[in-house]
Amino acid sequence: MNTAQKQDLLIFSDHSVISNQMCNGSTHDLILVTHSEATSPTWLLNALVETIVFGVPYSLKAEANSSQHQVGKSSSRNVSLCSFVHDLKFVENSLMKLKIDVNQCTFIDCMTNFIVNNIGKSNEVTLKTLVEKFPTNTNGTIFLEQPELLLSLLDDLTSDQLQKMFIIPLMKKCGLLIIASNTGLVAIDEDHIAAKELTEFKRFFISNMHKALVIMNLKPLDTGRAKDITGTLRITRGGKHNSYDKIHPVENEYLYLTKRDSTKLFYR
Amino acid sequence: MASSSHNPAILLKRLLSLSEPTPLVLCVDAISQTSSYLIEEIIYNINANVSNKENVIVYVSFETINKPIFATHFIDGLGLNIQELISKLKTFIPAPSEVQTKDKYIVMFDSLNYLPNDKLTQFISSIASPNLSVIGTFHKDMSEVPAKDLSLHYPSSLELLKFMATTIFEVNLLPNISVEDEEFHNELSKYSIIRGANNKIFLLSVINRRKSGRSISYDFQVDHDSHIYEVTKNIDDNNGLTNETPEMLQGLTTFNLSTSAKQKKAKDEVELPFLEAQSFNTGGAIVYEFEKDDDFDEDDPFEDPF
Repeated sequence: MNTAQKQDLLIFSDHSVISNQMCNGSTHDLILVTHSEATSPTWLLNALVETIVFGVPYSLKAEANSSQHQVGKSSSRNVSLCSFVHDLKFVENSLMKLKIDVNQCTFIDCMTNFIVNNIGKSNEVTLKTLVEKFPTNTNGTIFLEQPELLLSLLDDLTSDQLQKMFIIPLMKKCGLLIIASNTGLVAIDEDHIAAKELTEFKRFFISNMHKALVIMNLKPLDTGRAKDITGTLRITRGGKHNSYDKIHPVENEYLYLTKRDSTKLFYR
Repeated sequence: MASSSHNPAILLKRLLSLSEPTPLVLCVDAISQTSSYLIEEIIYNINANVSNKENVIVYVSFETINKPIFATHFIDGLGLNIQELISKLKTFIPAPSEVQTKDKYIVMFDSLNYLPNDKLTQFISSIASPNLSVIGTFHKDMSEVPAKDLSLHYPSSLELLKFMATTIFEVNLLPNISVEDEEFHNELSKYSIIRGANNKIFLLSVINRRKSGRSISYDFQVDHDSHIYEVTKNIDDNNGLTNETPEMLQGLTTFNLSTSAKQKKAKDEVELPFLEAQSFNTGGAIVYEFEKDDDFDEDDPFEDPF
């Protein structure tokens, strides 16, 4: 693949990744990123964080260079990151590589000692305490990495309780909630997960898909592995009604190649 | 069963504008095709009727925080238990005795999936009221965890709702989306949606239950932008015996199952006994022809009047 084929990431009809019309203080939207074990969404989440902070995903730009980061105007939008699979060190390194000031983002580490810190607490108290850690800013964006793990981490937690006590309160706290879910987890371990737990996982994923304005799916190649392609990124409309008059999600499919720290997009 | 006495498009318009008495309208959708465009069509048709402009629309939300423009009242359903939700709804809907014939009330649910299975019937019946239409979406692809104290044989929420609903709208993806059926289901099982899903042009199956108990069903292709509803050919109609050709029977057995042209003509000319009975104006009748071996008795009190 030569450089001429490289494409920029576009999600909305106004040729933007995250439209300026969103996070206007009166709307609350959800973007869902679904992926599997073979397709880590870190590069995509980094690109989305960059878009929120700089307005453009420089890490995906073909002609990106370090000087552009200086030109890129840092927005006043508040960014909160929460991960159940990565710790503070990992996120700090990622932000430093993106040349984003670490102090500009709030990070909530749900990976380190989550169980130890919440032992003996009821599910309601645990989730309420967790929600309180997120700053309230209806113009802001919250990134949530693999919240479905809470279904396994907390005793008898159901999908509906997770929605009621965690996802919906977080949506109320921000203008845009971006959830990355490892849906491959269920597909792979389907035989090893208890029937009830499996139903709750499936219910949680489908529920989020119905709530989402945009669904971004990262899929490995059906044919296995290739040297010049890592996988496909498919952007589709979610189940939620588009309440914006002037913008709508644009369906698209890209091939992507991740090499070391950079990712390139190509049209399919 | 399709009825010839109805114009399907007019019936659909009447159902969408809630002109037909419909206490419970069930909209069944899936992640491949959302019901949100159908809900917009309902609102468009309700507003098209001038007398409906003053309708009270209570929107009960379990999935969104954004209040829709058309809603006059908004309730966050996820934060309430069933009793609290009923009490809150009753503050917007007058008691059955206070309802005036002119008033029209609509309660809209963005998802009925979040109501507990064992309390669903009780909930629907407790908010039912004259001049009230309940419009609810049910996501058929959302797996359901059965309630602990219920029997294994207790019906699912979807079965209960389909039983109670007077009108059932089921939205589906257009069949001409260029993906094979198997691939489509394969993608969905991986929580990936194909391109072209959640389209503004979609397939709508309608079942309307009349007061008489008869139900009418039609399939439509709905265009959300132009508000055009086209009746599509019912797939079931094509599966009848009319499509059976002698060639289809070839090679199945060593017996000769085909019919020759001469045999076919003879078969068509056979006059079936019930055809003559249908020619009477008063409906069906017994046709009796006296034959030479029949025993005829003039005094027979049980004699056939014909």
